[in-house]
Amino acid sequence: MKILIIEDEKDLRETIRDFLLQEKYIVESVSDYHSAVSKIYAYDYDCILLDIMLPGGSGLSVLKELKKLKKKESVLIISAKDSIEDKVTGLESGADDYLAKPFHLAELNARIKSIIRRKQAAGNMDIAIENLRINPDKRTVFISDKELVLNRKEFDLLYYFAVNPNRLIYKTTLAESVWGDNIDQADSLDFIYSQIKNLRKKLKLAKAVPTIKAIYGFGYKLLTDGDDETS
Amino acid sequence: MKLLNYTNQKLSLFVFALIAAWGIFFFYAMNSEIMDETDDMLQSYRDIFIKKALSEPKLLNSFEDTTFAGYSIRPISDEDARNYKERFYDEEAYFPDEDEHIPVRVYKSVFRASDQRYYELEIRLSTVERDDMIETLSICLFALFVLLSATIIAGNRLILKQSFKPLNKLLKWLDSVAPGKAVPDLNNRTKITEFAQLNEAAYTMSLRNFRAYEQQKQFIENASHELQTPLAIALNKIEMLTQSENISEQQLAEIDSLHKALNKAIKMNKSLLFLSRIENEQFSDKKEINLNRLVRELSADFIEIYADKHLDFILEEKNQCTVRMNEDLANTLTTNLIKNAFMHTSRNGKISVTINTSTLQIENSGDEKLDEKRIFQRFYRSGQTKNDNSTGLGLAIVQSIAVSNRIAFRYEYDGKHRFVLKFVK
Repeated sequence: MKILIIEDEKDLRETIRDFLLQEKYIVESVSDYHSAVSKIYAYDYDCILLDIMLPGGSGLSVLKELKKLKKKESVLIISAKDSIEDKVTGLESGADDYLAKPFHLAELNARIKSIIRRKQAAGNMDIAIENLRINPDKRTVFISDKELVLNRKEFDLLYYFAVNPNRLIYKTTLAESVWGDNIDQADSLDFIYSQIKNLRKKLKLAKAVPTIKAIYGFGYKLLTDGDDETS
Repeated sequence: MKLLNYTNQKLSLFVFALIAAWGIFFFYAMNSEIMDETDDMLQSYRDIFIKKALSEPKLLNSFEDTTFAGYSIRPISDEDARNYKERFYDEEAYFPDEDEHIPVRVYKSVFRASDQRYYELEIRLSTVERDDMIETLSICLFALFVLLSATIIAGNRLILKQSFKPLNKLLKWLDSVAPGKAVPDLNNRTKITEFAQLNEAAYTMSLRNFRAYEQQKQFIENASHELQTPLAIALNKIEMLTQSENISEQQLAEIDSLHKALNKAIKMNKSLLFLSRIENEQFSDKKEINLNRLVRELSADFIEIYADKHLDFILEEKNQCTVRMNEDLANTLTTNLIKNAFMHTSRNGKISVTINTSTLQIENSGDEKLDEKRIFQRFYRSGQTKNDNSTGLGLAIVQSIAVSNRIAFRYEYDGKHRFVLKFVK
């Protein structure tokens, strides 16, 4: 998977690049409008992370260029200008998703996976980890081809873990992913804790290989290799 | 009291008192003048009579004269004559001819006749005409008083009203000046220097306020925007740090508190940005929102989140409430209010939400009244709020949304907290 990062802020660009490299993507990055346009003219990408405010031009113009070239790249807008109009204009101009700064890298990862998956409509939609298989569209979970029934929140949590396997996810990030922005994530931590407890129990009963590991008071991690540690 | 009425009242009272005082003075002056006139007349009658009596002593024996001004003579002793004091007085005299009592003026005087004896002379003069005259005078005077007062009061009112016109216009204009809205034109020409100055002062001040407000808004928005990127970098660096293989539990604990603090800053920044966006009216896209559905969904989430608080939650939907507003704003409005209730109600407390055609009311138990002057201010936290996660912006945002959407928002306390939104349709 090839990803292009178009972001003028050096630190942010490099952090995202490092993170995506860890996630085994092929990453290229540019910092201004003109180099962005020359990149999209020259190469094809699976996904483009696009900042709206760029030196030399607007990110929205990059979208227009893509449209003109009839390119099929998935575009995820990352913008500090978290305003509805920008979001609407961005999505109307052909972007696939919109993520306001600041965001969690785990969230960015989930969004990238989700839009790439949507583009590959023809292929296999399921996320598979060992004997765990998740169908995000039907919202179903199978363990060794046996369906595991989860409630809505448990499913959201498991999905989030599945797109960020082997990665330590901060508990408020999880809360945010389940509840969205509006709800005070910090207040829902007890709820997240009990939901994860139930989820772990269900996974264990269904003999799933991947397990969820609690890391100190910090967060959780989905271990794909089934290292059954329940600290 | 209106300035016009106040000034008019004071002026009227003053004019009223002044005219009344002058009227009374005038009446008494005229009255005494007329009295004097009568008495002078009586005195001259006396002189004529005495002159006549001295030349014709037989007059002294005729006691009564039947002319209009009757008189009588009575001899008195020398002793009495020496101590005699002349006097005038009014009395009712009986006139047998007309068989009626007529008011008369009586003059008693003494004289020494040609026979060297003293006589008391009593002259009576009818005062019917005099009293008539005084009566007419009083009526005229009263009429003058009433007319003068009425015209002066009416005239005053008219002139004052005319003079205060620029002031009234200025006041109306000031009403139309709202914070954050462009200052409307002030077309209020006046010859009165003070009003002209007032116009000028009000206009420049509003303009200055507007600019300061705009700058402040702009500043908050810019500052929040500028903060987004560094906050994003910090957040992502922390996230990267936690993924390192060789990180110890203790370091993770440190990162945890770092993360918490950073999250709070992010949340606060987002709220501030949201607030300035509401004030800059960047949420223009409106649609019909069913509040019943929204409240039902939100409260279901909050009931789950706060399950361990064992709150008694009652949702009473008396009617369907549909409002036309921006979806995000409607969402934030209801979320903040409901969240507020769930967050601040103590364990085993009670929350009740009532929805009517045009009102949304949220009640929750609480022991102490909140400071209603301050709850809508930014960064207000009540003494009871020990929650670290509270940004102190929730109600300020609600208030801002209410103001920008013409929703009446109020807080009451009668043993429990009550927040009421009233939608004007």
